[in-house]
Amino acid sequence: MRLLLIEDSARLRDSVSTGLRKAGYAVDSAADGTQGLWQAQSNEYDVIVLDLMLPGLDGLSLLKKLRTAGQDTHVLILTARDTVEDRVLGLRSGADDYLVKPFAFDELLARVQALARRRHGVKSPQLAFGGVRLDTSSRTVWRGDRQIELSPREYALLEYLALRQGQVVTRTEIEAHIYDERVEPMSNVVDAAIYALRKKLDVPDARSLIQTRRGVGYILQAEPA
Amino acid sequence: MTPPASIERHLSTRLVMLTLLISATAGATLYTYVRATLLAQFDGALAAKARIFVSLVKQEVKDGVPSLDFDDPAGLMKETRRGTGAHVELFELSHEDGTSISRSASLVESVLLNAVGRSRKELTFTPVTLPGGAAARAMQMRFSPPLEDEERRAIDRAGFAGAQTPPRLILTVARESREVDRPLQVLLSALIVSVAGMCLASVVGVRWTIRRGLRPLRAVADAAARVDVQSLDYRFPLGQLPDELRPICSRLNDLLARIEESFRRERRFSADVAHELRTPIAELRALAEVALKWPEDSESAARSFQDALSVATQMEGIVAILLSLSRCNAGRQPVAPEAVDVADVVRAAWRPLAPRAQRANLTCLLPAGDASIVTETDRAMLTSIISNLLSNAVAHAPRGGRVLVEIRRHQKNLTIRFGNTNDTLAPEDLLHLFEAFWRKDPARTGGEHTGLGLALVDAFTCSLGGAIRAELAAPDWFDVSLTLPQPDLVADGNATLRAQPFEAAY
Repeated sequence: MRLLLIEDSARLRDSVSTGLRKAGYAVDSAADGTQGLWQAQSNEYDVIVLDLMLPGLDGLSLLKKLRTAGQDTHVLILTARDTVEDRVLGLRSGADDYLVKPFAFDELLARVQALARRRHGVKSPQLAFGGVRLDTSSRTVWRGDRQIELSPREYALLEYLALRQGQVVTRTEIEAHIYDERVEPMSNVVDAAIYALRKKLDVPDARSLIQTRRGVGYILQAEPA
Repeated sequence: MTPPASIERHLSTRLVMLTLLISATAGATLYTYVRATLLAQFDGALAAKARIFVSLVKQEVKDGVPSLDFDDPAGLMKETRRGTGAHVELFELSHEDGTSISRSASLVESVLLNAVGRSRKELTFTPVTLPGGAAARAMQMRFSPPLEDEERRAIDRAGFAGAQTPPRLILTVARESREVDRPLQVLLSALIVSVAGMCLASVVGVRWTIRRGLRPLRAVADAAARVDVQSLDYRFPLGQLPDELRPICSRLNDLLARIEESFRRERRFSADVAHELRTPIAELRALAEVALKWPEDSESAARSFQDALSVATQMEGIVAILLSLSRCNAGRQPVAPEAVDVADVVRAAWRPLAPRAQRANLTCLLPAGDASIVTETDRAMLTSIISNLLSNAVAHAPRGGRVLVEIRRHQKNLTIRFGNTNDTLAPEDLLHLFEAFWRKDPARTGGEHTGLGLALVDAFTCSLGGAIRAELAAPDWFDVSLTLPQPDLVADGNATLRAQPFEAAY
């Protein structure tokens, strides 16, 4: 899952993006409205966390521009403005969620997770496929009673594939959603990650859950199509 | 003087007392007049009776010796009762020495004369008590019985030299005064009853009238009592108030308006403070939570501590400014005047800003390096004012713009002018410039600007007894003029430190 954090306070931006990254998200950040809008329009994000009082272009104007341009990325407003009018205005301007500062990091994380799930039309935090169970809230993966240990990035990759079960996901899409601007994806980064994931996930002598569609991408499928 | 506990009670008491005084005086006057009139009539009747009596007493000569002849053909002396006995009249005629000549038949002794006493006056009227106990009024007169011509000749013939002076006699006439006393008593009772009645009526009437008259006052008091912090927008309806209350309520309305405005400012200020502290608190919380969630990452934990420290420092700065503001507003900001070289303070404040000004390629005009203008003021506060204004000028001048500082002393005032090229402020912004937490761009800029700097400048200037004025001298030129009062001891004429190019000054 790839997030964009638009926040003008450097310290808040740093700590929140560090936390989100550690939670397994790819996080890009922007310090002002203009840059934030540019980034939001040039990348495909699963969730945008948006401050309202921003230099350059304020959060609500940014949101309206995004929506006018037809972008339906889920937006969570994170602001110090706490009145009912502010919340109503924020939600009416096209936001999907609203969180008032100061906030609990776990709450922000949970809300971001919920928005990310909804992005792919899934509401349950539990995803299941071919004997594997994935809990998006605790970010754990189980095969039967055995927990499969995954690195945050491996988990993010599996979750993304699982959310798009049965669909072919291109390498570019994976790059766009799993890696943020900090990582310069090389051509074989995705392939290496898929290889590592297969090794941990698949059972011997069985068909791999993640199938390669040569020249297109990957597909997670419980049963052969 | 202690204030009256209640206007209503005070006025009622005074008015009832006044009514009592007026009616009692009127009653007393009336009573006195009627009494005087009745007594005059009564005394007139007594006097008439006495005159008749006097006319009956004559001097005569019997056997060559002069003596008194008291002829009582009407039987006046015997007639002690008249009419139905309602009036008792008594007479007594005596010599000057008190020896009785004749008296009413009922008088065994000289009771009458003794009761009245012998007055030296020719004519007296006295109230007396008759032997029966009845109240009466007595008239006493001295007279000499007339001597008829024939008698005079007889006396002359007889050769009595002493008979030339007729003897002095005392006539005392008393008459029961019931006819006067009764109506007077009735009158007195009537007067007392009516005065008491009037007082009673005035107690009720005055209270009612005053209570009714004070009703608008009570209405105003009730309305004022209903005003609380939630209803500071209430104003007294001046049009519906009596003339006397209108000026008071007009003042109250002014006061309410001022209180409302100051409450509004206070509320907005509190809301602003809460809002401003939200971001640093959010920063602290996020830093702590992220560090706690992944404690194994020591490098990022160290960075979090560093960040937390800088957040704390920033919050400390905000709180320090807020404290100074509140001290200034409460008039408790300590001011320690000393001799201060203003040009020196400007140069000192400039030093940390110089690199930034150079980076922004600003042309800076400042007082020359060796120039000095000394005044007496609080050094710390002046330094804070100048640093704030200078750093604002440098921060807001556009790239390649100009910054200017000019110090001018004129008579009793010291003026420091800070100017900078402007491309952000509009004339309407000048109204909010000195408000706490006001920023042209509402977004925070990384905690560098709290939005409190100019509010503090304004408060400090006020505490130093000075004044500050911001203006857009031209659309692209912004000026702030700080004027401070000059104490007499340093006022050594007028002086101006014109700004010099930055390079020349340093």
